Amino acid sequence: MGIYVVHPGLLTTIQDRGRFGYQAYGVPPSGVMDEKAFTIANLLVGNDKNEAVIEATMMGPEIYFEEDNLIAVTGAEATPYLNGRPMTRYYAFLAKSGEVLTFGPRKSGCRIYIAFHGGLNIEPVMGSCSTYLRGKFGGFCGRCLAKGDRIAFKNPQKSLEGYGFRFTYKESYFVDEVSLRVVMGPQDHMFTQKGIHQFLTSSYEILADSDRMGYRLQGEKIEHAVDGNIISDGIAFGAVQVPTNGQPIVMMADRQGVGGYTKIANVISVDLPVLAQCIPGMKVRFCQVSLEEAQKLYCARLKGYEELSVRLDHPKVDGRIVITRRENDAEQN
Amino acid sequence: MTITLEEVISIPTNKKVKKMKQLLDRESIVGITETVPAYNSLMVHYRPEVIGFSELCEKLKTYEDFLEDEENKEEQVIEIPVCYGSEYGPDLEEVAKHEGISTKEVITRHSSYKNYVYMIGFTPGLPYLGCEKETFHVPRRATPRTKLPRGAVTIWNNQTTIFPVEQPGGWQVIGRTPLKLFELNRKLPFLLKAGQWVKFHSITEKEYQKIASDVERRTYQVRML
Repeated sequence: MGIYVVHPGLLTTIQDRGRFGYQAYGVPPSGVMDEKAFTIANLLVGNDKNEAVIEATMMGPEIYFEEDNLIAVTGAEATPYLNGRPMTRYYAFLAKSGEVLTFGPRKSGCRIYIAFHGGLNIEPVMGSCSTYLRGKFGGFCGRCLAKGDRIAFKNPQKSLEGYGFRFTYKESYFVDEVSLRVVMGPQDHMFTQKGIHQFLTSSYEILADSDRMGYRLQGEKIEHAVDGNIISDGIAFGAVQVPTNGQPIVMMADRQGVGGYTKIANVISVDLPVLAQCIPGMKVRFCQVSLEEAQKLYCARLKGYEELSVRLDHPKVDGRIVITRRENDAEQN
Repeated sequence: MTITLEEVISIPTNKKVKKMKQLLDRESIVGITETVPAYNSLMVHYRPEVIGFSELCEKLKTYEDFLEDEENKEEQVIEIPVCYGSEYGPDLEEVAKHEGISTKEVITRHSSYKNYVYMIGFTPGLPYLGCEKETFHVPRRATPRTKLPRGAVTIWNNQTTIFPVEQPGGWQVIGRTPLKLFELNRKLPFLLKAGQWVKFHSITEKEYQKIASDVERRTYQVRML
């Protein structure tokens, strides 16, 4: 007993951090698109940081609870409702048996995350509960959630340490244009100076055929020295591939492990959630940072998660509730 | 991080990549989460909060000297049974016409040489194969097929591969193997791995059916040459 899917929404899947260790066999990592909203959702309900959650795209699902459990909703800005009562995002609350979770219209962002205390009862495939849609495996039967699906809870709870204070800064997202920081390479030497300049100074529109595999962008053509082909090599999350047509593709969660196009740069880890919350029609710009800077920011984010986790479990310091705005964003302080 | 060796697709270079991967997998350096080999490079995924970029570089440099030594002792050659032609290989006749030889000669040629598994990628279990000599020159199909069945044995130009799952594709289908290159619920989901060799072996339709049912029952023993 756990949840019953009344309406799945547009594209709703089960995801955890991803399937690692099988890229050498051609298996994409999959996993959540927005690692930040995912991690925070899990921390709010007191889960392990890797527990599988529901990732919904563009609109929230409608979920009937067959059993009480603590849940948290993060990511895209759309108000969650329990039996019609508005609830707060980025806040752990109790959903009771018989209640229905619905969502109001989306104001910003693209992907909603719903974490359940103790997690969902999903059989891992190759060490992960993530759904790989193209491969039709992982998650719930290797597919998107559909009306009538039932998923059990593993270890539901009615309350938790610090309950009532398990909330944090509510994220909202840009709706027109975002700036993404990148580390240049590994094939930036295969572009002309003009090409690099075009990449770092123009804005690129997100095309409609963007998906969990990659964001396809369109804008000023990025000029290659020769062409966009290389001897296929490894692809990381956020790699900006530029085929010979000069239009960039940012590789996302369902990316394949290797590819044969020149990669001009890589979006830094802490900015991938920003892109994951962008929708087609929006514009992105790229700006260059050093690898050291990128890794410093990433480590700061991890530290932020640690601090948030501690504060959620122990909300009172000297008998007072201490909550700092943007605590989940240590690097922005 | 990506370690790129010489800018060529060659078996000796790829063997160095394999060696590097083996070394790193065996040493299990703290912070490295996964290594992904390609033709002439190895991608190393790592956790920067555990090991920094420059520290990792220093560490990896110490392995450089080990890449040159001894030949890999035993090289595995895996035999892939293939039923060529008819409904199993609808493009066989066209390939023969293009190469100016008989269908029988296409089969003989295709099953006469060893193919090196450079890497596995694109879809789960799909091998990127290569061999050291010229084989065929046939182009891709002008119109890709919307469905290539699981096990389709295909060629394009000097390359051949086997499709582990049903998918669309523009390569010429000359036969089909009853073996499953990728099966989720098997103890070892992947039949092949990078660094092995593959040799095709022509079988009859009857043998195909027999092997297919053995594969289904999991009693089929893959032949190593």
